[in-house]
Amino acid sequence: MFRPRVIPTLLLEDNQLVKTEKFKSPTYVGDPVNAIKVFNDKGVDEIVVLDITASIEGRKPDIEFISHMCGEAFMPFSYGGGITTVKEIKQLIKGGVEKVVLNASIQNDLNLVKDAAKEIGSQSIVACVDIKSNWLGKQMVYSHQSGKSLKIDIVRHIEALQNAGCGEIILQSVDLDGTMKGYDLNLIEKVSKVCTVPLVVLGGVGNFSHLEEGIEAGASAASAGSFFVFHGKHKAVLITYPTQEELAKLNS
Amino acid sequence: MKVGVLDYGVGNLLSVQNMLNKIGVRNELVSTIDDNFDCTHLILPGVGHFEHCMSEFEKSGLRSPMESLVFEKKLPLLGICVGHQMLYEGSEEGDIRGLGYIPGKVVKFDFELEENLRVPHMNWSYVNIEKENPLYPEKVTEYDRFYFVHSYHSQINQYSILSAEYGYNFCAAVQKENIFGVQFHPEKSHNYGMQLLKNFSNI
Repeated sequence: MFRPRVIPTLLLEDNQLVKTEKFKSPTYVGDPVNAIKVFNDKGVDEIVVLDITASIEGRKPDIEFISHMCGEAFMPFSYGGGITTVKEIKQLIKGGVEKVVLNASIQNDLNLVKDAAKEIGSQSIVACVDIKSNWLGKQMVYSHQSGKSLKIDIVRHIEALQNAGCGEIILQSVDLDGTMKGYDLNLIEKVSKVCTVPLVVLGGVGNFSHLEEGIEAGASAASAGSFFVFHGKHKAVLITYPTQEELAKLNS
Repeated sequence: MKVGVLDYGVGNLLSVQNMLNKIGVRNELVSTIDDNFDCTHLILPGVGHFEHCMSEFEKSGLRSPMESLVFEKKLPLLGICVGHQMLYEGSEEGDIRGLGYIPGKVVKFDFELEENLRVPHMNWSYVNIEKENPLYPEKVTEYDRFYFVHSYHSQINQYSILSAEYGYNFCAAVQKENIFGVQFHPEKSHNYGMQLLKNFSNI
């Protein structure tokens, strides 16, 4: 028996923790190293840290700082943001990162995925795919770096990522980010049908039932941001994580 | 007591060292073994492709001195993930021969159509104790669990001490005398992994 993973995704801006809404208006939520310590003490399944301005600013991963965060993580730790070369991926893995999350650098060219999978192994290569509705309501792959939707078919993109050697996919809804209204279940169902590697879903979680819905819709693992860092209707910053008894409800 | 983490250029060695430091176990990375070698325990890490790990290990020159420590001086050896798979005779992931300390071949996850589970198996799993052993002698809580990331696994065999389930039961850990292997990552399994590494270093 296994239990689908429940994964806090933390966002970094200038090495500080923030939380966004629909990819906008970042709110400061604390110090990342301290947050990771708290999550570690709560026995979290895994943690994902994404630097949300690295690619926009053309900044490389801050290996020393990332390694410092990893030192507090006695669970799998994934990092994404500003990664463009196999060399950087190797440095990150050597620095204690389990998995790297690629997004901006692989939207048009999958060679980084291919080369990295060959040298490091698919299990460490995660692709994050951001999905946003355009003004006609059509869902497209979104580029956070350029602030534009790309003319890429979602299903074809997922298939291409798998074929290139990604070992896991994070499917994120930009429209639901920070809204705490629940996952985009139609999107998850659609993607899960073609996904042969573990599928992590992100964007919209506001309560525990939302996590269950995501898993039922076909996700392998349920991720969230706001749900783990905000508490109450005034969104006071408080780090929480479900108990093992609660998580056992997700067993399959 | 001192744990030597075999460094042949593969794997997330820092995570293993981080956890050993956390539990107060002296450790060092080992890239050569000479007369001054003073470790009492060995860890053989490994991630990624079996063939890549095995060929890098053969190239490192560590195999022969490691084998004299393990077979003559009876130092406890713990293979982690692909390091565990390397203890077998071979793997479906490549043609290269494994170390062959444990009979059998590592196989790819193969599911019936109705159980088309995603691969790699990337989950926290509960384990069952197949045989009395010093690594994980008993369940501590109902929620004891370990972190697995793998597409290949060994089958339950006469040396299996732990099993886990993903679609079907597979071998999660082996022991043959002083040689141990775990398919999961104790260095990424919170206090459950800490306890396991503590138990290993106390053997």
